[in-house]
Amino acid sequence: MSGLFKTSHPKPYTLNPRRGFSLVETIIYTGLLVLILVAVINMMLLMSHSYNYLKLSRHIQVSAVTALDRMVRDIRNAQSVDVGQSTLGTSPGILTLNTSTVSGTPQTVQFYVSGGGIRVKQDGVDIGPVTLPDVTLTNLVFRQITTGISQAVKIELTLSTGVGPAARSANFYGTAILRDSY
Amino acid sequence: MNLKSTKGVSLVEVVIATALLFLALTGIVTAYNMFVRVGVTTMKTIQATYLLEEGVEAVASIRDFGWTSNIAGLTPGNNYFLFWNGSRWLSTTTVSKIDNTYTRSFTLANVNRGSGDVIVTSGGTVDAGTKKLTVSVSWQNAATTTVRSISTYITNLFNN
Repeated sequence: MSGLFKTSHPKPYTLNPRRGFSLVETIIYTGLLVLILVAVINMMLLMSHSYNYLKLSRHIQVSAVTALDRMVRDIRNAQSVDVGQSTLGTSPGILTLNTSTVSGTPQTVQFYVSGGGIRVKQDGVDIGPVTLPDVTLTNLVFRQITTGISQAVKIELTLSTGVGPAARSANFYGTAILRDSY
Repeated sequence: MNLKSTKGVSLVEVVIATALLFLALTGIVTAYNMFVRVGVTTMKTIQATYLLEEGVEAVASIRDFGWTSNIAGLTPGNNYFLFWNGSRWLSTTTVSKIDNTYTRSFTLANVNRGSGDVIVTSGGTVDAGTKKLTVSVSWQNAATTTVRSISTYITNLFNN
């Protein structure tokens, strides 16, 4: 290393343009460059990895909040669970509620699983999904609680997304009493 | 700094340029690290929020089974936990973790009412038909424990 920067120039550590680079210098510079490039590329890969992780987490969060809030609100608004039109206790569950609109007209609301997502039906007509398309539903169980005075529904929900090491999965739970059942 | 001159780039210049570049990159990576950490925390906070909401509804469903037999007998200030027996929620003193992460407990406190039946924090007389319910969810976040709580009043709505 001591001879690396030794030049005829009076100032040390300054490259003499007429001398060019020695082979050792070139090798060391290339080595350093490669090291830095490896570090930078590694960092960029990590960043794209974590970006993907954040994006997938966000999709699960948005889907869970939308689905659970929608279900809990509709359950609270309902008079009863239509047990015959529901799949209770197993996944994928179906929940059919006898509820009413704002103006008081009776309405049935159904939550069911189709194409890996949760969808909503009002009076038998599909009105769309409540989960994002790239989020897969891996578990959805509805359980009915009958207290003798009121009814309640317990929801167990697992959402997953991504493949391989980027795969994310999260469990969400909710219980709501049918406020119109008493 | 005229690169066309015959002087070339000095080593000091190269070192300073590299240091600046690394400083900027370190900043970006640190920020990114924080974003990821916040992302993980957000997921846990959302899960905990729904567990809290469920806790309040679960205690209300226990109330519906009978105030006298299920709520009035619980010692105010004691920690109770919620247990799903397959068909209903029950209160228990046995700790169990939800998904091996979250510990959910609830406490009941006596409610005192003063003149005009207004809820007061001191004085007044104990209202046997009202309890202050506090549900807490705690979980481990690296070395620290995060606790989130919500409070509400529950009443002997059905006089049972």
